[in-house]
Amino acid sequence: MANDGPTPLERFVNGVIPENPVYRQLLGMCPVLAVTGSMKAAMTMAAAVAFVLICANVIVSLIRNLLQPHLRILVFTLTIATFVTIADRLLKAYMYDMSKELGPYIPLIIVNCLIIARCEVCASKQRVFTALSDAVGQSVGFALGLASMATVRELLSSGSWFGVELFWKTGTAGEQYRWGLMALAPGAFFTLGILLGAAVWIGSMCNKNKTTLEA
Amino acid sequence: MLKYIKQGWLVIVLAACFGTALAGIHMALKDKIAANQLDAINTQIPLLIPGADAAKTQLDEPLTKQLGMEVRKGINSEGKLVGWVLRASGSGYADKIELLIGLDKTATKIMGIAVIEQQETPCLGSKITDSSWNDQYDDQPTATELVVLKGMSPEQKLIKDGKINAITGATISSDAVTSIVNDAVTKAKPALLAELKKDK
Repeated sequence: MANDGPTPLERFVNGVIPENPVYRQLLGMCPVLAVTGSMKAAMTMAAAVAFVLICANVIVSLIRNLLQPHLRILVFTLTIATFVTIADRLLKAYMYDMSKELGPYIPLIIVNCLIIARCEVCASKQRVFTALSDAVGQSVGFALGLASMATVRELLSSGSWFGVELFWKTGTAGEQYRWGLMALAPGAFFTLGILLGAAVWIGSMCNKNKTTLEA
Repeated sequence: MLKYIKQGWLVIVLAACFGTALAGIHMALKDKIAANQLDAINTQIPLLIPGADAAKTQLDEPLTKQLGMEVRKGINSEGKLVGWVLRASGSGYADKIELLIGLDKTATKIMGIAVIEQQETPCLGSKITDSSWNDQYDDQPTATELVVLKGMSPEQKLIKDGKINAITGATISSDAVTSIVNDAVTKAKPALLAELKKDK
């Protein structure tokens, strides 16, 4: 079977920056807004999404020739739901406090459009290795997106990063410098808007440079 | 019929495989998860009832059944009853709030409360989990219901006369916690006293 789509390397690279799930495809916005209040929560979410995405992509790619066109979404959802349940159980067993903090957002990975989109776009059409590198690339891109949001929000709302308190505030004296709003939903929307704007602006600058060079 | 099986066999096979896999995962992890949940409660017990031994403190099944909420007997290292722990829940601002309420042996005083489950607004309602706020419940009498006030002075907070200072910007969460405590204590107190008499 001829490999029509992009090569594994292209799939991987595309997922990280050019087709970044958060800033380019705007997929999986629910966790992006909801769990980026702290770095720890965001990275746990990124790891859970990576696990589900990689497993689902590989399974779907393995059975791609058996798929009935009108039943494919059902099969994708079934596969995704299985791995989400496994991830949820594992978190509850080995990272109990974190699973409580993430609350309903781990089960909600089932409806994360990013994963179903990758099954549809790549895994149901291409070979296992391509699907695997696509999943890894997209996962890295998603983790970068979550990390950028969480870094801004955690720094501004509590002056820490990964729970480690940073220089300018120690103890209760720093309380007044905390910007509590950043930990709340409005903070998530502000941060997303500003970072998204910045990402589009940088992208258009890069394109402009490219066209002037070519001209 | 045959047509459907022909088209849907993959879904049926996958569902069976995945179902088996999930059952396996559940069997392997369910004990660990249950232990985690119990741990979350057990670590709170010595904090709620000073002197209680978490390993000896056990669920009192007849009382739990009778009251419809988990009741634990706080037992100290010498095997004596030192207090009670109630597990109560009620609706908060966003979602269910679950509390552990520590009472002294005669149920005349609240020893302390701990929030074990809440989804209140971060930074506002979620302050109900801060010990700086919920320490207010320590040593409060159970003779009358607790009331929530706004803007109490630091001196007022030190007097334990059944008044709770609301969290600024989260009066609903403060009210919710207080009414869960009131309801649970009112409901459980007669049963606990009866149990105490029986023991004697």
